[in-house]
Amino acid sequence: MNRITAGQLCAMGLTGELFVLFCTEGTISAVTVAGYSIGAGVLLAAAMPLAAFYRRDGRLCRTVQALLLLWLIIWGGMLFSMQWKTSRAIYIPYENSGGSAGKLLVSGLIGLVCLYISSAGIKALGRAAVIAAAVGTLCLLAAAAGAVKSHEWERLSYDSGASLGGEVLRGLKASGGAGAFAVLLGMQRKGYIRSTAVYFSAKAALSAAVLVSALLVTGGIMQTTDFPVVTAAQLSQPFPSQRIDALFLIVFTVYAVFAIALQAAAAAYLMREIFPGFRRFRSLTAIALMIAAAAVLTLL
Amino acid sequence: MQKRPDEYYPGFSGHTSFGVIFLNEKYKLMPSLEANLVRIGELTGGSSDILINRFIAGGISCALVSCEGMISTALITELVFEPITAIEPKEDAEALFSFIDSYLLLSTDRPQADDLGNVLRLVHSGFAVLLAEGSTNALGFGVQGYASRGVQEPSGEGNIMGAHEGFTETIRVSMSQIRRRLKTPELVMEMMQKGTKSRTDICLCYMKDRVPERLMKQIRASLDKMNAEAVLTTGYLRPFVENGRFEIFSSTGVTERPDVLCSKLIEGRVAVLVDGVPFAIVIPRLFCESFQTLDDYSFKPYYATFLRWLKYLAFIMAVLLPAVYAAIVMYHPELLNSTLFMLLVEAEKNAPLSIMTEALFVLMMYEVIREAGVRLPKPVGGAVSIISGLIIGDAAVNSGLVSTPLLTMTALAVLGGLVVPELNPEVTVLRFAFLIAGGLMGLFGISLLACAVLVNICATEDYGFPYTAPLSPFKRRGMGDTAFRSGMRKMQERGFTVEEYHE
Repeated sequence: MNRITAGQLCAMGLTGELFVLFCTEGTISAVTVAGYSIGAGVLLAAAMPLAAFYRRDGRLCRTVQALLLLWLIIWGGMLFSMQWKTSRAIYIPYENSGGSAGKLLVSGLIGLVCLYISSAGIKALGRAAVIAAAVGTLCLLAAAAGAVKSHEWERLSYDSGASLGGEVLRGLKASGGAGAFAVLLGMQRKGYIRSTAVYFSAKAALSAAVLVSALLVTGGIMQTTDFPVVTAAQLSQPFPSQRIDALFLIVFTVYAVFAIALQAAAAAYLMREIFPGFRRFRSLTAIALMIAAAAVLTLL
Repeated sequence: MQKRPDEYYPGFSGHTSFGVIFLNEKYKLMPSLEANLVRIGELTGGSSDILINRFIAGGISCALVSCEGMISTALITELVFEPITAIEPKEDAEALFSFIDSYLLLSTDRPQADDLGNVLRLVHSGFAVLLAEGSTNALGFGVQGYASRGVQEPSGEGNIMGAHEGFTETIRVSMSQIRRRLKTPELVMEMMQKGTKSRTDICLCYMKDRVPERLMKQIRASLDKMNAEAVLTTGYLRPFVENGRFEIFSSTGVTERPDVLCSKLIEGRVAVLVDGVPFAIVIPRLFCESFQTLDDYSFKPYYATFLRWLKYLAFIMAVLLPAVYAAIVMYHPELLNSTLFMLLVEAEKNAPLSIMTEALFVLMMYEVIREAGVRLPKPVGGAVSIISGLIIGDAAVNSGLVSTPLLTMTALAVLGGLVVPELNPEVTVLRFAFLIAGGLMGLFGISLLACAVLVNICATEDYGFPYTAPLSPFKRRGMGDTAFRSGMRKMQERGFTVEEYHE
């Protein structure tokens, strides 16, 4: 069985969470930050029994595995859909000149790379995610350095009119990556409870950091922006005569690939557990189902 | 104490097609010398390099069978013929062999054989084999004297402060070079033969107190399963000790330096020497090792650390620089400041080809020139490189076919690749792949390809040793010889073995 470390588990999960944050749509405010943090806390409380279950050498029953598989497919589809929608706001060379065909090609290429990555196995994905997360963090720090110049603290008081309960639900809705976490947690050797605590705490901290940064930069134009985090990245330029949007494109692409590949790899793993005779094309099946789910979700 | 040939060659199990034939009962040596010689003639097809010297020793008809060019004529004359022909008469062949073996001690290696398969194997390995009338045994003398290259400075893996000697094509010399540096009984060298046709001697080297037992078992199992006709270079053997998956980078390494190999053995790795090849295979190999040279351990740690980061940077530059240049200039010019942007616009505006085509053209030209320089005789090769580099390069820029900034970028990338020569094949292919990705889709394409390559590297693993260790999976203790180079005292105290990285 593939075994992963706590660091790899957190790196895989958090790259996915960051990607979802990048794709955040609609207005955000301090209430959103609080809602996302409370949502992470709720998930932490919900995940603790699972961690304790794994600690007692428990194994998920087939029904739970099947439900998780379904969840991974749907969430993978949602991630594809998010990528499709958000790439409207990001300059991707071929996509912009190629129209719908270009957009399809871009999504197809992402799918293809995800297929390769997920077929390499969770162990390889975990190792790569650690490096990708480190490189991505460096790029984000460069963007954050740019954000320092354009932020204004009074924007923190921006009121979007959303209720805390609604924002908690929004935070939970953006936490589909918890499904993959539930599957991958069982692949650790030890430290289930600690990993769970670290993961959800880091998720809360990351959400707060990203959303607060975005709010500080885009608070003044929140009503006119579709993707506040993307817009914040576009407005955060550390140099007067150069733009570093391309750095955000790199981070967006890498995190999109790792987020989707994680769902596919976890789904392929569950397929093997549920259907032991199903040996080949598991990753391909997972990706195909996710694309189908994405098509349905986009049409809906 | 005599040894049977099987003891000299533990790997010879009789499973090869060659061995099976000769281990057959009908190929046992017969008491008739004449009959044995006739059969040797038949089996070798009358090959002209098989020499048969007949003479009388101790009053018994004998023949010394050897292979021309594999033995030292002077050694045979002085150490075998002269003493052997002066032996007093003996009652039979067995008494003669016993006397030679116990009293004359004509050579240090004196294997015996009782079948034609082993006789011919000894002959083909440079032994002179004595057959006598009335004996069903043959006695071999190690009088190898084939022409071989002496110990010379390695052509690659150059260094400033370390030893200037490399392995040679003769496996026994290479073994002695290792033994000279590790005078410990813990160093074990196991000889075996591989290749059903070539029957090449290979030597498995390891430190028995350092190497993980599991690793040894797995490597032995891989070699046992190996089914090859010939082992002519390390490349014939490496696929059999690596896992069969598609890996861009090789999880086994090679070195032509005995000192480097010794350091690997001390770290608990296994080495495989191949007769006829001046390189040793090292198992397992890690990605970070490609950036380590022996000189790193001769310089002060701060300078060694600087050199190491320089090599990391050079590697990234070698793979990505042309691709990033093409991507930025073609799709993301906003990344450049206005001065640099105008400079590049000025340089590129007269170029007739797209930047990606230009870069591909320049890189392809370089690869052609490099390949021509390597394959041609040395004096001509050097001239070709100079003429190509100066004349074609200069002409291409002057004619406007290629812009100067692009030529500078590709030259820098190529130079960067030469800083880590071990990874040059991988770097070359990746450079092209990234250039195409960057040229077609900008930084988005580069990012996608980078993800795939990164996962491929992270998936590279042999015998449970991840290629990317100690970076991922992260091992803090391993950073002392990866992110920086700790002091030698600290490193020696640490007693690192590769087992630390096993997953």
